[in-house]
Amino acid sequence: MIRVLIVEDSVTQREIFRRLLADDPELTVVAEARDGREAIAQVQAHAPDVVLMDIHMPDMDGITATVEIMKLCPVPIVVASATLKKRDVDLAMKAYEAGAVSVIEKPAGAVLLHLNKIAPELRRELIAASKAQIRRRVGNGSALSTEGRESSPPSQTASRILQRKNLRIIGICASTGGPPVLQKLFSEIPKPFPIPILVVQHISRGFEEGFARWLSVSTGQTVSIATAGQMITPGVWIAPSGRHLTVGSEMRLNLPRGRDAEIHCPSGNPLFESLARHFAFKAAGIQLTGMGDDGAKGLLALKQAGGVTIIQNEASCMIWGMPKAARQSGAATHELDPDGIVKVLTQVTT
Amino acid sequence: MRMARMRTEETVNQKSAMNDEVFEIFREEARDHLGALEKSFLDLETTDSVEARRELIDNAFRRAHSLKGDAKVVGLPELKNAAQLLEDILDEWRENPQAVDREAIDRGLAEFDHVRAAYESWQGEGVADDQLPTSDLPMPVQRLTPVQKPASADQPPPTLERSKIKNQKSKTEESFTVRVPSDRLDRMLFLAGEVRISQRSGDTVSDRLAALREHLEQLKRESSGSIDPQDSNIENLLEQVRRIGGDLRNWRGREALLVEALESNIRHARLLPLVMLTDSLRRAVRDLAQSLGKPIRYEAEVGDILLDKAVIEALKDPLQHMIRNAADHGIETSEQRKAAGKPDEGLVRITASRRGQLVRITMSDDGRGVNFSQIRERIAQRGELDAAEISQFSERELAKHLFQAGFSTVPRGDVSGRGVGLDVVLDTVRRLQGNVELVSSSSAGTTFAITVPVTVSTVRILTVLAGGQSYGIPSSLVIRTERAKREELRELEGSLVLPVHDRPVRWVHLAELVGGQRLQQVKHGQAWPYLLVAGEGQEMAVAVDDLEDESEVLLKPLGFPLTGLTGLVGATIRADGSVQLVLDVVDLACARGTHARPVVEHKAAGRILIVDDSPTTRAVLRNVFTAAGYVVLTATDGIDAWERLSTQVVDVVISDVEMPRLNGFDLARRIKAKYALPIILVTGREKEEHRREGLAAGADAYVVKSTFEDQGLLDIVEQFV
Repeated sequence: MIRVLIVEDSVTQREIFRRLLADDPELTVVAEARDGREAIAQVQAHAPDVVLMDIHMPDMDGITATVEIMKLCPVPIVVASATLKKRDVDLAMKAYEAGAVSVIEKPAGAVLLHLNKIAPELRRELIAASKAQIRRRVGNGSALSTEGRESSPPSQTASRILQRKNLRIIGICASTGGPPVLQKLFSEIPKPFPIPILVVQHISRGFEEGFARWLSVSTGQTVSIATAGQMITPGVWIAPSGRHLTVGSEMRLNLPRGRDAEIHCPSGNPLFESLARHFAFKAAGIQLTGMGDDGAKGLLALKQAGGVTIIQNEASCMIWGMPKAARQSGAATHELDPDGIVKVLTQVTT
Repeated sequence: MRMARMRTEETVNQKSAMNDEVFEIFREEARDHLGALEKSFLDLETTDSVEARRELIDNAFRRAHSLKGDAKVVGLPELKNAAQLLEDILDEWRENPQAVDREAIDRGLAEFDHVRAAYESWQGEGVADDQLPTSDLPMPVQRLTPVQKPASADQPPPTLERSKIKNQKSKTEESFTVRVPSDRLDRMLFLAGEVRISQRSGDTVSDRLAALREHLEQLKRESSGSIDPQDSNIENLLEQVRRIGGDLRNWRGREALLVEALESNIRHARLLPLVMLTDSLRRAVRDLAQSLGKPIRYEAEVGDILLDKAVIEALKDPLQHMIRNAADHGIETSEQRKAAGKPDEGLVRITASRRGQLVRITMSDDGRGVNFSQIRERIAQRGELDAAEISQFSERELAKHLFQAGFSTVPRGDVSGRGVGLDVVLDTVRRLQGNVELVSSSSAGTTFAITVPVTVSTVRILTVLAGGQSYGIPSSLVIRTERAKREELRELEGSLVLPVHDRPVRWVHLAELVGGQRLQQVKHGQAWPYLLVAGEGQEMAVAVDDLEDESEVLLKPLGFPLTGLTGLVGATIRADGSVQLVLDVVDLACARGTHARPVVEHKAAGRILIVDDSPTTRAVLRNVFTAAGYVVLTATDGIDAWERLSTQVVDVVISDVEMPRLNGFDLARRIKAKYALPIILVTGREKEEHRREGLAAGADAYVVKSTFEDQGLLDIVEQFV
């Protein structure tokens, strides 16, 4: 059983979360807390597998509590934002910096009538998050610090993987644990970065704008939500929710709708496949942390077309799922930690 | 899963889901948020330090945010949107807490009102559709008058209201607190009452057992002497019956204690802090201060006093009304205050203290006080009493007039005066078994005191006999019951007093209070039971013929036309189905002690026969007329009346029309045929033909129940005596 701690100051919302998770075969609520301070105490007392964390709470808010928990006894935290209003979303993004695994919107509207429709989404998020490998944070240091861990093989980092003259476009696919990695990559590579970067990040519907804003502000790169027909220019382009992000023949962005059967939309597969088709060896594909196998198929296509394919290494992944799938299918050319990826990308500009 | 089935029409199901516990939780929580939000806004107005302001705003922001979130998850988009707007405003304020001025707070409060309106309209729908419980605390603070901005812009509004509420860190929910909807508590209390009633059937069992025992004892006596082997058997059975009787008594005693404990615990669970009420009044003061353009400070020091939810709810309007009176008429304009050497800022202050089962709430202002000479003038204008009498009234007696219906110290046509609505206040408080009085008034200010019991769900009454009638007297009025002998009484200034702890206490017989009857002659050495009651300011001994029992009863208000009668709290239904009047002896005694007495002396005491088949009407009319100084006889129908007339001398007959055996018309015909006696018919029939029939039957007056008032009836009777 996955043991859940609910942190929420509203009695109403606690009750609703409790109901959403009641009778779940995999999840069980082991404790509840009404503010950040209680949350820290409950985490220490119950060692839950995952924490569902509210943001605005008296005494100690959810962000501060997340920072503290990540310092004292790290555990996967899913932050629940009240709404998709700019203010709420911006705060939710702070939660990523604080070490939260993912951010979701609280369920809305007549939840009681749609428990069985809403519950699966919440469960999926919590189960995914519970699988995350969480590392203790020291001071304000990033969870992605590679200190003390085995780094990627020196032979690979030393060699010049990417050549400026060859490289025209980069695609990145990320899921759970992706936002902090992206933030690190974009802050450490040169800015403005001369090559367009297309990003598929699985994120709760409605958060993409706030996510783009957060990346833009915190990294100094130009980060935008992709729009259909847009000329592909240098900068970071984020796929909007509910649409795939692909490139067309004339250096333009396409946003095709997903098919019903697809689990992920946006998904890494159409992105990498379109890169393979239109840019082939002039494209690079990067598969980052996340649960499942999204992007693996596309990355393989890209590799077969001659493109450069990189996967995040196991040690630095919050969830070693998608990179692992890519490696198993033989799609991975290089396996690097975020520092390694930064180095590789930086080489392009020199 | 219960919820899983509801998946068809959302709006329809939304309502059926309204009964869900989540909504109960949400309802309570939202109410908390609303109360706290309003308080934050008001506190903000009077807080200067940046840190404190920031904290207030942060707290309010969080509340608005939570409310928004909650409204969203339970599916109330209107409320969510309103809360969102409020949250937006508060978020702006967080940027610069010092920039939040009075106008900003006005804006915030206006936005807050929208949120509350959204909450209430949802509440209202829910109630209308689903009969949900409406526990409404803290209740909405309505603006008493529309807020007017000061007319001239160059005149900055003064700091209108500053409030200081001490001693009340808002207690957030305890770790293991359970929220229980108040209607559930009501049901529990009701069920506990049912248990009490079902306990009474134990009386029958005891009686039957006692009868059995007597029977056996009889058998034993009869067989005593004979050498019957049955003897030992009877002795055996008798012994067993005695033992069972003893066990039964023990068990019933224990059960009674347990039920009582259960009941008092449930009652305790219904208690809410009085501070909830006084907090919600701050807004009223603020709005009033603003609309009147008078700076008013509001202070509430009510400690941690708890009161039944029903009492708190019922007290809100009276307190609000009294505050309005104080602000309107008590507190002077700035110029007048300056001239009187008072601080510019007026003060409205509420304090409370608890004595046993009673809570005394005082409301004072530091305004100009009650104008007693104006009250005298108004009484004189009524023309009932002459100037000499009026001038003898003490201030306390004069103050009583303030609480009479339609009495105001300001002439009609002008703005409302001091007494306006105080009758309503008194009425409301009386319904709670409480009392309102003017404690003091001078040019330095006025203090009113409201005394209410902590709980009201049921009333404990003492049933007493006096003058052949049984009456209920609320136990809360009775300090203790005692017996006193005739020779213990002394005369002091023409009236009887009983020394209690070396203090003379006014002694009066209940029959005298109620029926104006002479004190019965009691043999030397015989003792009277009496009740020591807490009068206004002093104790009083009320003698009765006998004490029957003490019981817990549900008090029923008397309907029209019996409302508002002096000394009557209400009526209760006795176990045998008869109606018993419950008396406020203090009120009765005071009525007799003051203006009622001159009436007795001035009028030649007429004798009246009241004929009515309703015991309640009889009892009430008896009170009306005895209070006015008449000797009252009663009859239950026309035949009864006819028989009485053959043995009694009366001056007037007042009769109902619809009665068994002999109706009012026929009674009138018979009377007119034999006696020269005025008869007044009182009836519910309003049709002209009935009136004609009544007058044709010889009735001297025909009073329709829906039009008569006590005074009207008294006036008519007076014409015939």
